[in-house]
Amino acid sequence: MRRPAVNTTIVAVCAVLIAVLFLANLAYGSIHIPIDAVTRILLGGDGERTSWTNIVLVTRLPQAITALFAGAALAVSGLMLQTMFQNPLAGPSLLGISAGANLGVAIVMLFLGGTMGQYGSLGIGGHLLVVVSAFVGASAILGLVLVLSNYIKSNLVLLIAGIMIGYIASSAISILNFYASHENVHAFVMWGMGDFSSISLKQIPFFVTAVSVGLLIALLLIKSLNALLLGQRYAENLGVALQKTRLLILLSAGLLIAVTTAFCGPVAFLGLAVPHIARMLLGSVDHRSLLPFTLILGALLALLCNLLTTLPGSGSILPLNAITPMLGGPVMLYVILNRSKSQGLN
Amino acid sequence: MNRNLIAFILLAVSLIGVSCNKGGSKRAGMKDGKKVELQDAKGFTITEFDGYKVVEVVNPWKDSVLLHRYILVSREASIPDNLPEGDVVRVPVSKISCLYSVFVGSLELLGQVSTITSVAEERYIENQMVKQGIASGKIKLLGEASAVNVEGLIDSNPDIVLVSPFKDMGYGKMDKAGIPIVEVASYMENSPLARAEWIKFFALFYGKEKQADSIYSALCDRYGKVREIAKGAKVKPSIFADKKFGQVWNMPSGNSYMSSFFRDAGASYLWDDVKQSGVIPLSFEAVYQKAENADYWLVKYNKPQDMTYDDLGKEYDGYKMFKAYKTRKVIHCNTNRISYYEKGVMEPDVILADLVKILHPELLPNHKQVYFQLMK
Repeated sequence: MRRPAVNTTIVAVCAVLIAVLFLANLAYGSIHIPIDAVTRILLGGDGERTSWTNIVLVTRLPQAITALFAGAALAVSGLMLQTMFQNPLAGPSLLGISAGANLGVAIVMLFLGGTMGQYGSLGIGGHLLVVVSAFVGASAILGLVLVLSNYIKSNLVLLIAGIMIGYIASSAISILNFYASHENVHAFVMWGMGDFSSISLKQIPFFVTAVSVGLLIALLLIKSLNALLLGQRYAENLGVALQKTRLLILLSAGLLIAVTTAFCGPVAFLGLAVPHIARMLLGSVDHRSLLPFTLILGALLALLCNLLTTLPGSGSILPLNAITPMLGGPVMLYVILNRSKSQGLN
Repeated sequence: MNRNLIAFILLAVSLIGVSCNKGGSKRAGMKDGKKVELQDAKGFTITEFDGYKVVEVVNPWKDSVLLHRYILVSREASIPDNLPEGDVVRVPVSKISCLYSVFVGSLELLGQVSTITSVAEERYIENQMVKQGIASGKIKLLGEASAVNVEGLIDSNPDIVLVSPFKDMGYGKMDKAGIPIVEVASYMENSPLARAEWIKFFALFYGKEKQADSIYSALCDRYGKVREIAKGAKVKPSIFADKKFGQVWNMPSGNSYMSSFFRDAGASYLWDDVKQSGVIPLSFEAVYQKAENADYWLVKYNKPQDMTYDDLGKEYDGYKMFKAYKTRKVIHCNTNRISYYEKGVMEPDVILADLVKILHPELLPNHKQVYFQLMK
């Protein structure tokens, strides 16, 4: 275990990196805008061309804010689930939770015959419908996994159960896809590739508020999460109200996953991989430092991934989910290969 | 143990490679026939021989490779010896299975809708005669085109099955049903006239070549006339197309069906110079940079209700920044309500006239638009 001074340094470096990456997200895109023009635009000045001002303020700024919050949300929800299930492979996608959110959205987008856009005509209420459907789907699966966890003592079996539930949700999505119109299937497929760009400046306050509420609950749960590390029985002996804690973790992780999935699609790997990177860098499993650090690192990596979706010079871009596993995959391999060494989770 | 695993993976990969590598066979033995000249279509060829006709569908994804060869022999004649390799079909066919609604428009023009005995994905079909056939049970339903109910197909006893080929996709069990699968690759043609010329392909199976020729040449005349009128336009308004899905805006390339229409309608398509196949995946920024001040914007979509400017703006904030949005110059077609894919294939002249009427109202004052309208 490292000394706290090192932790402070890492956190400080990450904070600076976030600031740099956030600015890079605003300054760099498939269209070249000179950096001094970007600075002027951000300072409220004249951007030389209106198209540049529009690109920076209407498309890049909301996208960067979305990446910042979505990354933090996914990473923190992943950490909470890994701690609660005491399983390093737990995460939004592996336990079928994001498949649940997918199913909710698929029902709205495919079965009800519309895309996000159609419901967008209802304004925030329309997006709220998609968010609610994703939230209900995610919570339902998470709740089911939780109920099963009362009966299944083995973490591995529970994980398999989660994966199976995910498969069932996925097969329901396949059936919906099969009968949906080509355009709607295309919209849903593209939605499934992850996307930080769909939130408009007007929707940002709603998104940021919802994610902040989830993160706030997570921060309040730090003590209980630390106690859970020691095992459920031990946590109960320490005076942690287990059922209440579980419910709160369920609510906050469900809210974070559902809100980000509803707005950004199922973003792959960040929720699973970031907590592991955080543990490795921090060398600690103490949630007092681990949870805030995971939050910061999640935001940082999401900004980095968003930046990497832009192919320099071509005006072309890669889907978000083509980038995140490239970053998350090697980390997960490393974790699996070093599983015997990882502490506190086994 | 690990080595075994690696060996197994290598074996599995190589097997997959082998099974995927079933390309078309090379053309052979086609010297003596008389080739029928086609005007625009590049996806198929017709060669007439003594006693039979050979129709070859070119692999749209691999030039000069054959996708499928059909040998058409009249029902009355006996099957000649030494036929080249390929699916033998006795013509005229009297019963067919139609897996995609896009073919119905061509069959309707040839007066052959009554030969359809089974269909897939019936929800896309708009032809009244087919709908009645389905309602009365005369036409069988086969489910989804991508996973056809093969027993139902065999039960409907067709002479041929009309399908749209997809790249590297087999036909599974359907292949083994012993019914010739007729691969209609018309959608891969990149001009509206070439796509429409496939009516000659359908006609071969019914022995209606003459009728198809006259339908096609009349269509070409009508299309050509509108194109000529459009040439009289004094200005060429700039135009771009489609919307973004997720982060990606798939813009039709300069070789596409849509860009052909734009060229012929007297518009200046902003991505006309990008001559690649398929679509160009772009970021919103890249589209916005180039199309910010474009005069017109064309979108197609499938929604229960027609979109309004309000809907479009709410779908994505950035859309509001285009000049075409601000000046209310968005051209739209709701394919949910309008038979763009089924009837539109055989009415490219009407589609072109729609565009000319919108882009240059003074040139076609009396035309009544069918497919495309300015958004309200």
